[in-house]
Amino acid sequence: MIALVLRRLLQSALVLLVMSLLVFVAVYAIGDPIALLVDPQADQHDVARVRASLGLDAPWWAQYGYFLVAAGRGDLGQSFIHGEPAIRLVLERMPATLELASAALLIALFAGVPLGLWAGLRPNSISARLVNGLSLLGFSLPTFWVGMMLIMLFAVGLGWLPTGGRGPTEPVFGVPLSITGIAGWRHLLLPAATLALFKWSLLLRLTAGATREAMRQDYVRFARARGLSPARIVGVHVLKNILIPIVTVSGLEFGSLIAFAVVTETVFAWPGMGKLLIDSIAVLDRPVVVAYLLITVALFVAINLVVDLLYALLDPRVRFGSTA
Amino acid sequence: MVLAVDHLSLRIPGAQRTVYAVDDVSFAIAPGEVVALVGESGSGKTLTALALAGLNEAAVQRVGGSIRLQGEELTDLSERALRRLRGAALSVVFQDPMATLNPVLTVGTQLSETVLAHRRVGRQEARRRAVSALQAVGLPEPELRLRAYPHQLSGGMRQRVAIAAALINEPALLIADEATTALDATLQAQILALVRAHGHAHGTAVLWVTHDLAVAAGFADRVLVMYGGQLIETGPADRVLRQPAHPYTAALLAAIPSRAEPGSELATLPGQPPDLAPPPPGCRFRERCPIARAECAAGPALHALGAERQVRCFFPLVTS
Ligand SMILES: Nc1ncnc2c1ncn2[C@@H]1O[C@H](COP(=O)(O)OP(=O)(O)OP(=O)(O)O)[C@@H](O)[C@H]1O
Ligand code: SF4
Ligand SMILES: [Mg+2]
Repeated sequence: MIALVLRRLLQSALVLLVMSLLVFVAVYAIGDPIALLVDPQADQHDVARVRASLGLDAPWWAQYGYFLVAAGRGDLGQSFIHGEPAIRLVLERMPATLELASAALLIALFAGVPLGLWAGLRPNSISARLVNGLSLLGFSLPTFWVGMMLIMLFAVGLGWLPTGGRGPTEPVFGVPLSITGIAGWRHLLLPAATLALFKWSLLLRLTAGATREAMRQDYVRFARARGLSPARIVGVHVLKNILIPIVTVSGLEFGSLIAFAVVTETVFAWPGMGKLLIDSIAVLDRPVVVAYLLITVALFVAINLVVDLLYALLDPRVRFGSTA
Repeated sequence: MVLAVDHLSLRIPGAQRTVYAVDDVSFAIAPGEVVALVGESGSGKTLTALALAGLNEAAVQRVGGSIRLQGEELTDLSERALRRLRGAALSVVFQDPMATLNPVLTVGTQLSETVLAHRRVGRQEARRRAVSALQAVGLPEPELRLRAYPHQLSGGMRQRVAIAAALINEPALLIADEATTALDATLQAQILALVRAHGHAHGTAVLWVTHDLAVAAGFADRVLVMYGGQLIETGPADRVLRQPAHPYTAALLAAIPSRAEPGSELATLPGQPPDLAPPPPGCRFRERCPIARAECAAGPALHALGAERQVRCFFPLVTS
């Protein structure tokens, strides 16, 4: 188990290094920020001076070298626009995004898993097919469209919920969160539901499929042959087995929720990292884009690590190694 | 009699054709008696065995007949009432010891839950019974095994655990469907000896489904030979297998290279078993029977051959 953790930590560090290079090169290729930063009337000399002051006159590999050394100290550069450390800008917005993504995952789990279990236990019933069709809809509707429809209906039409933005925050262990008050939840509900829709479909289908599969297994037949109650067979024998893929997929999808949050945050004016990214790309604020991408990659890597450990915890065949 | 099956018939209706899979099967098992149900693949052994526990899929319909366990008619019982009997009054073990136990639950959990589902005892007592059940099937260090997960045990140990789970509530009837087929000959012999000893000691009736005639010969008190959904020969194991009365039983025995060798599959005979959708008229073995005659088109009934044997043939190879 400890060897597993160490091996995965080493792999994670490697992934981060490779990703930093990819991100740096990709961002380097997307355009010259000088054009935006310097007054178009400025002369050659001024442009060169600004370029030198920002370190943009060195060749790309040298810039990457400086960048790595600085990154090692936790410095990902100053935002060209805000004149603040890029990393601080991104980290300031992270709680909002994590709050949104966590709420979306919880909605997807609590609405998707029970419904999937229910549909998986009666695969040929009309109601299960209905649920299946509904989840197909959740797969195919584009996020921005769903978000806009929800705003039209609940915010503009019925006026029950705000059209966008985040509620007032309160520090919880030093992290500013909006879920401590009713206003926070009212702001969170629509964007979280929008973001959850796709994952809800995914988890519902995953759970239904895994349940159908588990019910066909010999261990279920043997459990029935031992006279166990249906509640025990489904609630313990089946659930403990399907929890393994559900937890794994939920964990991995949490990373993609953070990525998808870019669209949702833009539609709902949610002040998270995703909205910061879109705003920064528009003005070619290179250090902020790099900081966002690297922090997101680091989050992904951390999530993967946690999922691996959870997986080992849930599945005794992984935890103890297989002798068979 | 622990078990009395009378005129059991099963069919599986399909969109195009209905399979008449089990036809008018009757037999009984006395306390402590070990009975082997043998026959080729597709002869209806599994359907018959599972019907006793009400464990067949919904597609399998019982057309008629009665199943009595210790005098109680099972065919009238609700699913709920049947559930109270399964694992308590009658138990079933299946072939694949790899898949039969739940991979994410410990051996101890799976044994204890079987006790707790049927008996009003505490967890401590359930655990104590789990230990003695593992002891009874010859598993060393039972306390240690309780904490093990199935993948940490060998195939033979897993099947012992499955049998321990089946016997833990001391059922009157144990049904095993090819329970040792996946194991090697030595392990198979050990487990058979253990089940036989347990059955004789506790008065447990055993129905052992197998397509291995050598298993039936070495282990069972009585054999039931099935062909095309019907019983075609029954009687004491030693007599039936030494002197078969039905041409099918005789052909099977002749096709086994060495009779003493356990683990050898039921030999394949030339020709095909009959299509049961619907079954052919007359004797179902006629197509493959070396001594078939014109009379066989009528279809023989299962009739007594002396006091202890039965045969379904107009021209049995032994006479009473
Ligand atoms: N669900 C089903 N649908 C259609 N036919 C079935 C079904 N289950 C069993 N049968 C048919 O019923 C007949 C008896 O099957 P059964 O499983 O009892 O055979 P068996 O003697 O146990 O064979 P084996 O040695 O292969 O296990 C076979 O012809 C089989 O094709
Ligand atoms: S009844 Fe006729 S065909 Fe059938 S087994 Fe006997 S001899 Fe053969
Ligand atoms: Mg079978």
